[in-house]
Amino acid sequence: MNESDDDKLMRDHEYDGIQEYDNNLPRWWVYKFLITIAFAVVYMYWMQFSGSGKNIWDEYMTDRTAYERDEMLRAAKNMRPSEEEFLALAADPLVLSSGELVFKERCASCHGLKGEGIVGPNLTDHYWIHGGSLMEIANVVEKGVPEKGMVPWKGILKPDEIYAVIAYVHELNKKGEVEGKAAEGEFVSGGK
Amino acid sequence: MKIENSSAALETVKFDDWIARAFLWATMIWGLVGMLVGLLIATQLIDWRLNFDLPWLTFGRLRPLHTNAVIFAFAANSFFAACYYSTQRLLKTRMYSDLMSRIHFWGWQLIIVAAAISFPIGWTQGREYAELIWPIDMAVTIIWVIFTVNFLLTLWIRREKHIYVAIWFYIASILAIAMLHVVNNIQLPVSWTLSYSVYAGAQDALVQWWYGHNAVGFLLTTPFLGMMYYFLPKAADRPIFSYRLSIIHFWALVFIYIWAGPHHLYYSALPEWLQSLGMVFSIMLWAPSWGGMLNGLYTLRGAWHKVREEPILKFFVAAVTAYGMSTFEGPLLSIKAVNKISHFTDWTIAHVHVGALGWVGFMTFGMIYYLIPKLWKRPIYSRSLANAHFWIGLIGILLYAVPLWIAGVTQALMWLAMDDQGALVYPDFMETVKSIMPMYYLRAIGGSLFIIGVLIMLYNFLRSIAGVKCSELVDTEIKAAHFSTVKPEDQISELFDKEGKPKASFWKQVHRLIEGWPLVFSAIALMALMVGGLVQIVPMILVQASAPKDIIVRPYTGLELLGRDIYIREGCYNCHSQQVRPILEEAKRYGPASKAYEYMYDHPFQWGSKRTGPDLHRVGGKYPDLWHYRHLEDPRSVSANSLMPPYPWLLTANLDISNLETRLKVLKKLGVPYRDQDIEFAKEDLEKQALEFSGRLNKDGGVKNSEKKEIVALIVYLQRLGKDAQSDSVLKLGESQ
Ligand code: HEC
Ligand code: HEC
Repeated sequence: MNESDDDKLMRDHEYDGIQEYDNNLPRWWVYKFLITIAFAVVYMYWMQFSGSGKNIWDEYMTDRTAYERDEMLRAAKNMRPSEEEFLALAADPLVLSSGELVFKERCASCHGLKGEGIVGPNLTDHYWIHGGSLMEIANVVEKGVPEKGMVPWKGILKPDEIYAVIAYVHELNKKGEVEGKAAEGEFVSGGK
Repeated sequence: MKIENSSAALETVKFDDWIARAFLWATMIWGLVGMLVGLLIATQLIDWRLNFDLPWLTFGRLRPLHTNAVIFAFAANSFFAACYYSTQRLLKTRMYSDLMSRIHFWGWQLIIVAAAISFPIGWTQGREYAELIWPIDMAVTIIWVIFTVNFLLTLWIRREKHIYVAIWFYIASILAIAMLHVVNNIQLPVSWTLSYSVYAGAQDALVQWWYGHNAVGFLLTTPFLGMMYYFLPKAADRPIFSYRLSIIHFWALVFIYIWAGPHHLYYSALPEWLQSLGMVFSIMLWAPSWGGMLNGLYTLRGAWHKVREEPILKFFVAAVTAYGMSTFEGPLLSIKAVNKISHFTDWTIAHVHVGALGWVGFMTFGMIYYLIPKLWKRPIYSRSLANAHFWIGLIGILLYAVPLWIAGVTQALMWLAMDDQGALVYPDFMETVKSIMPMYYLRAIGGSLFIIGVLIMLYNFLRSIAGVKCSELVDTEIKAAHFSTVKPEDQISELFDKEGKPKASFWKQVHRLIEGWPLVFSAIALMALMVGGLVQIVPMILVQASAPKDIIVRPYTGLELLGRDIYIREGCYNCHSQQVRPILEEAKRYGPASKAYEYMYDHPFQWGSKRTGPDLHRVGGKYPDLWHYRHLEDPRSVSANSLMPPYPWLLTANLDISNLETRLKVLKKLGVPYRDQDIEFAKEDLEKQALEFSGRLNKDGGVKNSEKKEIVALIVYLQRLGKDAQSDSVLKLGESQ
């Protein structure tokens, strides 16, 4: 900006002592304004009329389709371990301690820190609503019982986290009953 | 045809200074109150115990008190003070009616008191920045009309022929707020304290954010531009940089501002063309806004040495700079891709506060320091205290905004983070809250500093005016003459040369001409203000949302409706959104993206604007009833580290079903398809549903006799959220749902 070269006071503009110059509009400001207007026109045309503008919902559906395809591939790869593989996991202290971590973080709010049950059932007694075998426990944990409040964990937890926590619950049950929520479901001997 | 001022007789004009003093007092007092409430709710987010287990002190009820106090008590009173002080001087006349000015003042303060009482009680419309219940809305309308009439009549009796740019901005503000307030608050009352918005769902969202965005525009921006155009050249004793810049940026601002409302609703169920329109207009708003900043800053050319010495100018310069920053940030946040990150986070809060603390706050403080000697006839007690106020306030703003910028971006990136296994990296919402907690501490410190600055100012003010006697407070007097009137036709013919061709500076002269016709000016401004609203809102009202053929959207049962009204009363929307955006990571976290038809019976909508807690639109069925029961009684019993306030009173308070039928009837009038028997047997149906529900609670968790309690209604409502769309095949998301 030129310092006051073109400062000329406007005649007849004086309000309570305030006077006015009539300097030119700063060039860069005018260009900026024009560019935003041009952008507005082009963008609206591109989005609404050109047919090539991708709207938010379309993009979402595209992302989702890709995600679902990946998910299927992953599911095929991350097949649930067989019963033997699971039992091997349950014997691995490293797996169990990571399962314990997951349990305290994600399950304890409903099943209690020791598995004694709060909103969710007591997991330490030998009564099971959905069966007490490893594979049955795995089923509930993965698919959940949404209508009763048990979360379907598959998709929320990573596969190795899920398998670890399943193994942990199975071990927890073997350790013996903790005083807590009254038994629910059927008696299953040996927790197996 | 020459205007001969000298020929007219000089008269003595006395300005009404009382009214400016009164509004200044109100600005200072309410400003402090509003900011203190802000500080309290900021600390509540750090430690939930500061909700004190008292209904009327919980975050959800106090946040509206804070926002309304700062907008309608602090900023509006400040605008009124500036308007009354400068208008009289710029027009060389006393206000048309002292009585109307007094009614405006006392009426407005009463409205503020009414708001300050009603929000903590839980009387609210549940629509952001328009929370006031309908009787108070009516009072606002009446008082605003009185103010408008008084102002327009003052224009009529002016002694200055042309109106100055500050007055243009006042005119636009006054008319815009009148229009916004009335259109947005059309509602049908159920009782004295409860009403339902006539708009529903996405439509309500559009109207409400048309209002919300422009309330910011025409209560926090244009009045303060008017203020700047008067006080900044006065304090700097410099002419305004450019008259033509004033013209262009004024009209551009007034016309474009109105269109930008939908930028609050990106990725929502609002039609996409509206979202795009909101975006391009927001971006076009950048230059007109900066026009104001440039005219302010360039006016100070050659006066920078004064800025160094004069605290008043320091405040103004910082304010105008803050205005420039936030009007750059605004268009930036309006780019859809940026908004995907910033929306629902603390970035928005940071953005608002650069405007509110920096622009509105500092303009006001500068004006107060400028007016003390003028209105109380005493110099400022201590310039160094005023300087101290400036620096402390400035550090306060930085400590407020910078941490929240960081917090906003951090949390958004955590929400959206997905690993290569397609799993959310931070599935636990509280983990994302924990990571930004240090920023909340810093924000509270920044806010405290700002308040300390205000306290210093108050002390300085009280010391300055100590010992001023009432008898000294006489009205300022000037001598002024009426301008001679020229017939309109003659004024118009001045625009053309002898051959009837327009003169070279035709357009500028046309503008000059209407500056001499303030009522015409006002009418044109009003038309410019209305275009955007008409183009956006009318189509939305004509096109009702409709569900796909195979889907039935069920109106709320009586019990669910009462639960919803409790949700509104407690202000849950201040922390929770009900709007899952069509973004993969978000759908993964909360469930399938929301669709417009799901909200078609929502009077008012509850989409929310800030996620201090998780989105709730798909929470229905996510947890067992008992979980909600425990969670509302004490959130930390089921969700470690939660910062949600406890709501123990919901467990003991009895549900008020006395006007249930009226509620249903009003909604029926608004188009919700209740059958006659739904209304006739409303109470029986409600009792049945409540009994069934509390029976389940008892069976699952031994909760006895809950059927009459408020909590039942609220949980029933929460469990129903987002369920209508269950059979919508488009909405399924992989296996996670
Ligand atoms: C929101 C509360 C909640 C959370 C969190 C939760 N559960 Fe559950 N869980 C329940 C409920 C309720 C049931 C009972 C379902 C029923 O009645 O069919 C249940 C049932 C179960 C069962 C079957 C019990 C039986 O008797 O058959 C297992 C096993 C289980 N949960 C494991 C877990 C694991 C592992 C986690 C953490 C990864 C977890 N739960 C997290 C609420 C929860
Ligand atoms: C101060 C902010 C705040 C307010 C006010 C608030 N909440 Fe929350 N809410 C949270 C936070 C944070 C969480 C996440 C932690 C948790 O589960 O408690 C949450 C979680 C929830 C959840 C669980 C959501 C989920 O998907 O896990 C529900 C349901 C809920 N709130 C309901 C309400 C209701 C109903 C109200 C009003 C009576 C309310 N909230 C008021 C902050 C708030």
